[in-house]
Amino acid sequence: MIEVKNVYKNYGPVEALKGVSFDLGKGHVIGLLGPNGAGKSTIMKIMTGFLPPTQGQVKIADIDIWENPVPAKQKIGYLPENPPLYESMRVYDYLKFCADLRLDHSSAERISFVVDRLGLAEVVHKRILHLSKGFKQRVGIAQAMVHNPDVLILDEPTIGLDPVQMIEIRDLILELKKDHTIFISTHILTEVEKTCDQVIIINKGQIIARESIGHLSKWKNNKRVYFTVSTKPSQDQFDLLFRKFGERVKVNGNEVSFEVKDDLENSKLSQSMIEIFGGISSMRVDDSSLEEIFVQMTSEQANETR
Amino acid sequence: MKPVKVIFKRDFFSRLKSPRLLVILSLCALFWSVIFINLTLTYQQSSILASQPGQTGLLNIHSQLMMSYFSWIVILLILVIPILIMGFISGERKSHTFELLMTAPIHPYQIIVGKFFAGWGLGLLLLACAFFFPMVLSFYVDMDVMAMLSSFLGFSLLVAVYVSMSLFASSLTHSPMVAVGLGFLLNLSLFLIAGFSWDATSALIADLLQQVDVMTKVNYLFMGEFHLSSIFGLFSVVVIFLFLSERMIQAERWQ
Repeated sequence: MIEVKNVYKNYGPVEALKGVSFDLGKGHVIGLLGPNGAGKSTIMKIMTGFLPPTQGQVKIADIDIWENPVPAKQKIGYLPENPPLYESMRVYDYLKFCADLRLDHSSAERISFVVDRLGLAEVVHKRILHLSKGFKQRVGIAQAMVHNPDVLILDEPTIGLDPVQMIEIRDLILELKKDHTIFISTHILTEVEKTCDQVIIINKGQIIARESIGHLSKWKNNKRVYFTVSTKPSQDQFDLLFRKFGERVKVNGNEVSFEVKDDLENSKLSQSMIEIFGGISSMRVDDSSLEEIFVQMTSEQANETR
Repeated sequence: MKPVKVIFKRDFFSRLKSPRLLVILSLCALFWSVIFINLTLTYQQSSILASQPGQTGLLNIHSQLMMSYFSWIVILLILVIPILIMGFISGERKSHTFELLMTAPIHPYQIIVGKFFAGWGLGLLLLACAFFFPMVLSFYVDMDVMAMLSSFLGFSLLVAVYVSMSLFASSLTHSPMVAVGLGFLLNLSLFLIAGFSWDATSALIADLLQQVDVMTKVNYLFMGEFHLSSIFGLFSVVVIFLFLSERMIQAERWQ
């Protein structure tokens, strides 16, 4: 559905993208992760035909976006970082304008569809100016999908929203996944974990990883196992723990945690804990968070560059 | 042609509903009414004097009254049209809606043409205000209808030139206020070209300047002299500035 081949983009002497390539099949949600200035928005603008690449090719449904921009753009719905809203317009008029720009036939049916799908019925006759940020974001998404595109490209769709609105937009993305291929750029890692099937990590204009969310943990194998004990460990228990496990153990109040290499160690640790403390209140295992993996990957790349 | 129509409708009607347009139209109508009444009274006195025995007789209303009034219309149009057009492209950039247009499945020239027609429509509304007073006068005195029609055509084309130039000015900047300043200077430059073409000593330069001299071409139409070459010349200027505007919005993506 999306094919990005060896794309370079220079802003004067600055190389924003350095040979970015990836492809994406139908019906997936893919997250583009990267720190500020990594080239996320640039790649999205090139994919939508807003910016030309210095070199390389972008195809949407096998149509080159620069050779045949009109049919290629017909297949794309795009929500830029700042939703492109005419604030003085009413929601319905705005959606009609967006639909009429992109559709040859009558737009009324599609407008009522997106209004229902995005829960905009209560604000459809209000001026955009008077909407909350969450509703404005929804209107931005509605304009992107009003012409029923195959591909939705969403640049930071939850930026600036409160937690409730963020969850609403995430649920919406999961729902839209059924009918659209979705490409999301974000630096909110939990958003990627919760909505995407795959993640592309970009740093300094280069793709440094492309993985399914499940496989990302291979980048960092260590886990931590947390035990809660009924009382704060005594000095003797403390010494015993350090003699046995050394640097791998951390004590925080009545919580004792261990760094473990694999799951087999967990049962041995549980036994040791019961021996030392006479029992445990709870136990939990924490995988590396996406944040940790992301930081590790980007810092590894920085070290390699050095 | 559908995208042109859609963009025209949005830009024209959204401004038509804005209080700003109402204020601009009211102020212009007030200004022109004061000027027109003053010029009419002056013309009346001159006519009375001219009809005295031994004088030249009745004065030509078109050349004596209307031509003076037209110059006042032009003066206001030079300033007001850039104000009407200022946000057409620079405002889109400011509100991030430029991305919406440029990522829609339409050609950039369709954006420019749609916006041009919206601007021209607003300009014609201004003209309607300006021509309201001569129309009222025509119920009471005999006026040269053909000269008036030719003048209206001339003004319509002049408004089209000003709109295309102001649109180009708006395409050059992200700031609507800077767009007003640039549009005003561009519109004013037409007077300078007219001045240079009259004063040029070299025949070649004079000939060259006359080709691009919008004001002289418009003046022929104001005087009721209908030349196809004038119409074609004005139309060419409009096309050139629309082309430049389209190039500017395309060029911005490559910068």
